[in-house]
Amino acid sequence: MESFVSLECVTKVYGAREVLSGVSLVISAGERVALMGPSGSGKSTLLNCLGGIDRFDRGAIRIGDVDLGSASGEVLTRLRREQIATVFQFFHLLPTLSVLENAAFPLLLNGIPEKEALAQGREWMERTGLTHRMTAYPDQLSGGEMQRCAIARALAAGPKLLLADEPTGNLDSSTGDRILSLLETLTREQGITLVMVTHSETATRICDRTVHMLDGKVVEPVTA
Amino acid sequence: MTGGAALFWRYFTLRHWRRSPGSHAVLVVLLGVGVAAFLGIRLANRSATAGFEVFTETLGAGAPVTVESTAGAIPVDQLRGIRAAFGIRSVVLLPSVQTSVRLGDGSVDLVGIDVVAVRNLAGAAGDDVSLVPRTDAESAVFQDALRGEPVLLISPTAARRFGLSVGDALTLGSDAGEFAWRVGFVLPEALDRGSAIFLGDLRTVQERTGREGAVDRVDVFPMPGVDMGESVRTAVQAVLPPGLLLSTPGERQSVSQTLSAAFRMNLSALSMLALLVSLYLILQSLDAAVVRRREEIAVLRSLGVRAEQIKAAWMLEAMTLGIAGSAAGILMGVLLARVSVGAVTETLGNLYVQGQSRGALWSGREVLTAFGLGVGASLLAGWLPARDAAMTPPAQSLGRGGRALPIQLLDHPLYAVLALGAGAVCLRFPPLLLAGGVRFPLFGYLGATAFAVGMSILVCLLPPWVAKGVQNLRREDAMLRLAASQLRRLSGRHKLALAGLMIATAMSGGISLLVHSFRGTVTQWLDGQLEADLFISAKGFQHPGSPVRIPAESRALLLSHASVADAEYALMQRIRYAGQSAVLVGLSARREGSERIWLQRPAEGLAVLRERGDRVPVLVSEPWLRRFGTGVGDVVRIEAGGRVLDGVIRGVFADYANEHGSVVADAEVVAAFLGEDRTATLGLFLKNGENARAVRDELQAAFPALNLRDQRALREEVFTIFQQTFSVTAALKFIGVAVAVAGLLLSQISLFLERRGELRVLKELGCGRRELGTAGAWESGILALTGGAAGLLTSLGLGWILIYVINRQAFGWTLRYAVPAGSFAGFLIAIVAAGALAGGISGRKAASLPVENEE
Repeated sequence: MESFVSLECVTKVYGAREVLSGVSLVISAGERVALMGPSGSGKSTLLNCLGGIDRFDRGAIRIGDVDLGSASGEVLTRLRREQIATVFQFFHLLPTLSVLENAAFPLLLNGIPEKEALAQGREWMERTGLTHRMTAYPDQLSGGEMQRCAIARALAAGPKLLLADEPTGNLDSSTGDRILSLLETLTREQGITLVMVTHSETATRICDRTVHMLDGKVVEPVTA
Repeated sequence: MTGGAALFWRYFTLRHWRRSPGSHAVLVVLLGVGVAAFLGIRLANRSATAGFEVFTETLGAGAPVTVESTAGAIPVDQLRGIRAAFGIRSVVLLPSVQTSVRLGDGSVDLVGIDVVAVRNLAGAAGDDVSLVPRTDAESAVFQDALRGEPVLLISPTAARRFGLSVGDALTLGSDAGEFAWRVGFVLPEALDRGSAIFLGDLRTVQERTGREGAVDRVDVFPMPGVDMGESVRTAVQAVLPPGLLLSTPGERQSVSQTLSAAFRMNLSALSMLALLVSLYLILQSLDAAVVRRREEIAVLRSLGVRAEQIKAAWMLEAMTLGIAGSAAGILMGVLLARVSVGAVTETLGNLYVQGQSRGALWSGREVLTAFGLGVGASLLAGWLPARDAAMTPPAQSLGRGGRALPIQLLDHPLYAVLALGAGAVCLRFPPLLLAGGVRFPLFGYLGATAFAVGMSILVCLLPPWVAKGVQNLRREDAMLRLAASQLRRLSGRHKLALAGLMIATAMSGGISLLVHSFRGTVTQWLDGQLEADLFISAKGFQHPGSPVRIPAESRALLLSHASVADAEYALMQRIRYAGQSAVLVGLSARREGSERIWLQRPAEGLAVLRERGDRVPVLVSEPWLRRFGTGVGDVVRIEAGGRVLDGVIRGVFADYANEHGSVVADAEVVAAFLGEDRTATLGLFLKNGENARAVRDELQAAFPALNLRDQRALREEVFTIFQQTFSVTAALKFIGVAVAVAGLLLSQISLFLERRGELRVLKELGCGRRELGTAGAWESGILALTGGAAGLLTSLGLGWILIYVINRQAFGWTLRYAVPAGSFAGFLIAIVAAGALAGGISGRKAASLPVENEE
């Protein structure tokens, strides 16, 4: 299978501490990978580096044909708009926007006219089961609804890579299961590559493989 | 607006405003207060000054040229010379006299115009001249006036103010006695300029006010086709009798505004203070908003929004705030101007020239300036938070929430040294010389600003030491220990709040020090001026330009009163010297004022004025010295009505009565020079044992046209004017500090929001609202103590600059530096209390933050 994400000896240092120590990893297009490891093992930092919202100090990361290490801020921004999306543990919905507007916002950012963006947003409401909550605001939603809205927002702009940072970490188990099913269905339908940080063994069931990290290093085989 | 900016404005700015309308409304109002203070003062100034022009310009409307005397009135026999200078058949001359007369308990302005000349004007200037009779009724009044009947044309404002209508009889009193008049005509509304004007025939007015043989101005109307261009005016000026001056309406307006320009300019500069503190508050508020919305910004960045877009969105928010605040400020400013125009007019009238306000004027230019300043201030204030928002690193912000605001300027003491050095250099520059001889101490203000900025950087080094000192006083206090730990490594936000508070306190303290010093100096000066028991002036007399005087006969009668032991009197006349306005004083000083403040005292004291020689010995005031650059030994030549007064300066004295400069000669010399012996002010020394109040009452009854005040009453009056003059600065002072303390509150709230993670730990450790409130109070209180104390120390330097540089350059006055220690102590206690309260409130507010926001 064609590789879409590749990391080569990626190192990231905070002060005197190496939080990523020579991480190498290849992820194929459409593959779903779980990142597991204890707290402080470097999972979230790796995810931030993959998302281009944090810089690494050594090594190389390629997403598609973009080399993140040499990419300018402008290129990284465009990459985040067009190819990468993120789902967070604490949802991070935009509080001033309604559920529908949150989902449509990435489309608006890409210059799609408001009417069309909202129409596409409504389709994502249907797919994520939020049609009845479209006009609600984030502070009126349950945790599960917030995460479904976050998934809708993440996928609305048609990304090729979805990064999920403990997407069920703040949800009860049954809601978490429903969110995982939704993630699996939607990424499979859209052929999206998924990299998911999780502490939950059950969450790994939706992934094609699991990568374990410890002290900033990958400790499992890097190929499937 | 670009599509992206419009999107952010609609989806974020507007939404946030809708979610918390109260706090945004407060912000709009606060910016509005700054804009309103600026605009209100400017509009009130403008109205007050315009009021002075109305009275005289109503008469000469349409006259391209006017002839006035450089000192005193124009003798009637010079009219022939004026006509000859222009060419006998080229112009129509409209001579007029203007004076104040008594009507009931008050005084009104009475103008005498040459009715024959007015009738001739129709052929010369046609409808452009306001006073040419247009109706039969008006023509009839002119006919009556020609026959010598005492008829008056009055302005609609005069009719309304005094309830007069055509045919009504009234009595006007003057130095020459009480005379009956009849209202002949009320001028059309179109000619009304908001002033109560009474017009009569020139000859009748002269006879009934004791002004025979003199006119105050001659308006010159050219016959059709006659050129009155600059070259013609220059040629005519050359052949006019000495002491006569040609002027155009524009030049007169300029002179009139110049009279009070320094006062108004300084008031405007002070009104900027209100705008500055608004700017500071907006900065704090937007910065707090950036902290609150850090997560939102980080999410936007993770969604692919560029840093520049974030910055543009925040700048747009600042601009929205600026537009809303400025619009609100303009409405408030117009209202403020309506309220304050009376006070400003009265102050200007007391200090400079008499006039009548006509309500606040709407000026598009002033409104646009205020609007531009408001929006500009808002954008300037928004820049730092916008930059901070754009620099928000998404990864850290999503993970940990807050991030300290970096402010490089406040991090390097080297910048302080540079600012202080630049300030010192600025103070060595002279004032800018503006049109009409106005001196604007631009470099003085720049020096003061640089000094304050330098000190604000240095003050950021102090809190760790102050915190350590306070902590040592209460070592067992856990919350104090916590607060002190926050101050050991000051964040950018701490520094910004501290610098803002220090500057506001320093500016307010500096103004306090200036006013206190001014008051002390004026008190001492008054002790020298107010030695007599009774002080007398004509009713309506307010300043050297007032036309009313004490007649020589009245003065003689007063001096011969059995209770009077001695007297001093002064003649005063506004003059033009070296193209600028100044005051000529004739002093009959027989006593040497023990408390008089001399800069250069002649060996003989005031007795030097009685010396006679080739040149007249004169004294000049300090403002004269600084304006005209002439000092002891220099020659002063004053011309008026064909006469010349050649004087030599023998001494320089401090004078706080006006900043235009006074030249003082012996009263007899000045009376001979001006050709009149009417007195402006008269001081009576009573014989021992006489009751001043009883004598005053007796003389007041005998001389109803005069104002008699005993020493105490006059002193109270002077200080009432003093308070009135500085009331605006007092208000601005308190606005400044109140806003700075509000800034401290906002800053403290932002700091708590930044420390949400820490707050969670504290709560888990058992800290409740009370404990967090206490910690906030300590932290903010220590900052307030540091900022307040450093601000007051800085104000000692700012006060020095205000007194010895700015005040001296603008007004030419030397004041005695005096520190209002009691007021400073009270000020510091109030600042620390307000700061601690603000911190306490923010701490308690932080304690009630919902848990889910603390991740």
